[in-house]
Amino acid sequence: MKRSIQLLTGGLLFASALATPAAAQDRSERDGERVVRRNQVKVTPEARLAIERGLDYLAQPGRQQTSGAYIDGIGRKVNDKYVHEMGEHVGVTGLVGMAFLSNGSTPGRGPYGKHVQGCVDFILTKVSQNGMVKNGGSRMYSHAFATLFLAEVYGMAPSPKVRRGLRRAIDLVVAAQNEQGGWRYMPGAEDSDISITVCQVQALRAARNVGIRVPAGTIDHAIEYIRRSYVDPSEGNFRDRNGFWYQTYEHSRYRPSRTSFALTGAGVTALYGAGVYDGREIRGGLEYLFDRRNRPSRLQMKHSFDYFYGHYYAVQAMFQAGDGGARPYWSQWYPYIRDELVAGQLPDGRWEDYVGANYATAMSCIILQIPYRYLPIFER
Amino acid sequence: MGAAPRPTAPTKRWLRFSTLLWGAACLAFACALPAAAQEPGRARKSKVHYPLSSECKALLRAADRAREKADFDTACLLYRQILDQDENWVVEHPDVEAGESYRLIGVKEWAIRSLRALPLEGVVVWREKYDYRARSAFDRARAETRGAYLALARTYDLYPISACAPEILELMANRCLERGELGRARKVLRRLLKDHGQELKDVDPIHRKLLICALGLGDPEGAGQHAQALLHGDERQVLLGESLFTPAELVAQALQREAERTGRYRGSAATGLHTRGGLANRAAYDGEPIFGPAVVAPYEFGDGGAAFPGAPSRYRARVSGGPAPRSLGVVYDGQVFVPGPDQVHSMDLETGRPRRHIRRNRQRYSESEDDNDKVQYGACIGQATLVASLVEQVQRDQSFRGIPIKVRIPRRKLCGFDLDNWKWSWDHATLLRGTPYETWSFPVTPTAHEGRVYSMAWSIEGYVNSNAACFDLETGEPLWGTLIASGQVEQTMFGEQASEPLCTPLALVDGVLYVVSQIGCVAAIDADTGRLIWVTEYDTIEVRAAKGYFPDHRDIRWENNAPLVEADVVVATPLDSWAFFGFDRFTGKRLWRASQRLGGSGTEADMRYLIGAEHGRVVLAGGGDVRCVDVASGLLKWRSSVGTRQVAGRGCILGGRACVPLDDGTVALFDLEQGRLVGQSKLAIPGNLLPCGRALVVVGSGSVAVHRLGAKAPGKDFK
Repeated sequence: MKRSIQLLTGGLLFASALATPAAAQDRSERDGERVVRRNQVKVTPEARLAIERGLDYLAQPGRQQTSGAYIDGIGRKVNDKYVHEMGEHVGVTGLVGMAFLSNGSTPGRGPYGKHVQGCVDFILTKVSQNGMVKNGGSRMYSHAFATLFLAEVYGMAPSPKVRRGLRRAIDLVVAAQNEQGGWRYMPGAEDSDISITVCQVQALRAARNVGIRVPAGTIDHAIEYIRRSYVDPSEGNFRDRNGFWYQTYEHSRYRPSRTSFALTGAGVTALYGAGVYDGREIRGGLEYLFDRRNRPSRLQMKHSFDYFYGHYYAVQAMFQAGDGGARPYWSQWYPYIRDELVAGQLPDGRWEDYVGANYATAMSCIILQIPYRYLPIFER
Repeated sequence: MGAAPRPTAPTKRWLRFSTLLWGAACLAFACALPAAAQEPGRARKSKVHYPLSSECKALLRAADRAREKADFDTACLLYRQILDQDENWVVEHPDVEAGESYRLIGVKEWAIRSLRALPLEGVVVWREKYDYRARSAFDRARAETRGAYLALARTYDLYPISACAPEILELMANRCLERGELGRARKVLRRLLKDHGQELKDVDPIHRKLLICALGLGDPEGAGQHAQALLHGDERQVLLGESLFTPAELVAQALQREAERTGRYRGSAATGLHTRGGLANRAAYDGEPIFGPAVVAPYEFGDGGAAFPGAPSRYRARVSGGPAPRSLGVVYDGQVFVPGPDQVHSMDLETGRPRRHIRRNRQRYSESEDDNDKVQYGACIGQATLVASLVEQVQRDQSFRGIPIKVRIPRRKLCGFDLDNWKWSWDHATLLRGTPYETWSFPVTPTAHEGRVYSMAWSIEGYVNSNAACFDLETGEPLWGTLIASGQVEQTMFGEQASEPLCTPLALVDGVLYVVSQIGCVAAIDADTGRLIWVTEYDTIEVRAAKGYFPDHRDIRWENNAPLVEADVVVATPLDSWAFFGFDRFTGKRLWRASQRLGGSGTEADMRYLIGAEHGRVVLAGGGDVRCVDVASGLLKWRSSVGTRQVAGRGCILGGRACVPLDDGTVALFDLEQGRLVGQSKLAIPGNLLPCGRALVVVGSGSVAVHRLGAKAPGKDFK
């Protein structure tokens, strides 16, 4: 008996001695792969230059108005067009401010501190009596981007004035949620769509991160809505599977609704924003995004209104997914979008689309700067 | 055989168990309700967005708790924080009972009420802490050369229990009396007596001033009460000016003045101003209404006006009788003024001869273009200034392949016209530029009272905001503007408003404005400072998402009726509801709710017009009948039919009779007590009735008729 135990122990030791080099080899291979991936997920010198040129373009004298606002097209998508009027845009101002914040500047501090302060001042003057951040014909999109910006500013440089404005803006978002659990172009509307819902969820998330009270019921209700928007692989046609409906099927005025790259990016990001980090909707949505068939090409960059919008959410979804899932989402996604944006930059440092140069440039800078992780909302 | 088997023991046990289970479930549900109700965004079904402040609510609760524990230092500090707020926040009313409709109270109102309820020790603490600030604010307000009254009123609201509070009120009253603003003076003096009476060394001067107010305002009860208060010992007469009067003589004077001002019989409760045009339009007529021969004058708006019963409308509800003529006239100095969308017509009251039109050379907009028939055209007159709401600019419609993106929405602004010098005094189209009121629209009859103009207004800031505003009558300058609530009306599929938001005239009673927001709530606002007193919700017609590519319009059935205040009940007929409501005017508590079809059945038409209120009764009309409701209970008192004819305009209560205009051009008279049809007379034209002195003005679509009251026309009356 004693002998047999000795033999067994010896055998096990021998086996483990044989196995150790193989395991070590595996580990070193995985580490090596991570290093390679980490090297891929970096802001290359070209990208850094592109960011600098982009931010400098936004900081050019005269680009920011004396009110602190940025001018771009305030309007709406009508079929495949963007019908708009140029005006001081609260949403674009918020996004430009976020682009500067992503670079490490805060109100009054850093190379773009003056500009960030201008953005804050303008947005605070546009917080209306009922809490809506609005100028001209702007709608809930702009409200959400401006609110998100205020939340990020408050997180990086707290001030009572910003808190007051942010509190009111968030109260409006909470009150404006409809029975479906989503939001639409205007507060209090009866129907919802995923595109606007994700903006609101992100604003709520950012506000919650900085200590503004957001009722748990609001988030839960939004999660239900987003989950209902997911197209299960067992339903819908091949093109739509794993995507997110623009409007949930049962409430859509068009039957059926539609899915798209931008909407799916929005859906996955909204779930992450709402605190859902796993589930079939996220896994399916990431696969949908990864499927290049539905992705807008670089050629569409200038001639669309949702290229940057789609990538703004897709990159956030991939960033949150990281490399730990079924695929190395982040390390494969970022280099691709980084190079595409760098290649699409115009000689004067701007990017351009139907909404306007300020909007496109701000969006591009935000996307490119995600690896810096300066913005609290871009924390994992 | 045949008898049902008795339940066996296990079945009984199961029944008992299931009963217990149900009980537990119900209990759990009941417990969960309050918690769920506190969670916004989920449980509460209200779609109205109020200027709620959870922080203020917490402060007020903490302050009340501190007050109960006699920790006056903390309580005063917390109330101070609330009063120092710049915003007009509201919070849930602390006295709301289970099952009651959603009710809110202004945070400052709560704080002021709580401060007034402080015991003497608390008042001492407050005065030690804040009297120096109150005195300095009082000195600043006293030094104001313009808007001194408003500055004083705001100072009083900030320091309502300070040592100088009686002084502030007395100065406010004196300023009002100097300007002949008796209503405002009376309100201030009453407050002074009620809340600071014990601090006054001599209350006689206050009673004397109140007596002057009562005489001037035609308040016999007030005159009698203050005259009695001024009698000391065995005195029988009161010295007023340089003469002596008995209380009976003073009451008689007040009665006479009351009849001149309100045209109401004695014994009726105090009422608010007639919102159709200020004081001039409720001049006395106390006899049996008999309508004499008429003078008829035509008028035209823009493209030739519209033939009765009204212009074609996108929004017309499926109601019988057609829409009422949209113009409400106003009478001043022997002239009738009939406002339209972009101009005001004027005619001689006696002859009907047209005078020069009052036109603002900005936006031309005809009545047929202006196709939302719930928007009424009204004007008011005060201190020889006519204030009308005229179209300033129009948001043009926009569509994509026939699918509406934006619809035509006119923006209407108030403008003041000096009737003595026949020239424009002010115009909000230019005056409000660059102010927060720039985007406000006033599609409603304003109310002029004692040097001020009050009006409801809408503005679009994502939501549709319902606002109330106050302007100086002489200059048009804004004095205050208050956001009441925000909500949503019908939208196009692009999220733009699919119809012009609506506003209703307001009621002004004892210095408090009662307003119906048209987005789901009724509110009371302090007329001096714009402070929100209470807000109460009512049931609304559902606003649905667009069907297909086109907006789904609500079926609005009420006509645009101003709320009425009768026997301390605010009666509101909101356009966005299929019911009407009675609210306690002091607390905002909903006393009753009655269906628009109250007393009706089957296919009978709903009530549409709020005719008037008297002796604790409210008269409504619509379709083919007239109904009277008890104002205290909301129960139907009587119902009378007008046969096959239809009610065709806004009626009135005249000489104790409800006068209801009908579509065949007659006016039917109903006894208020029993609802008997006591007479009917032929009018020259069908339309809205406007009693004025010994004349009855009928404003129809396209023409105005003036009948003499009390002069029987031989052969024309078929009573």
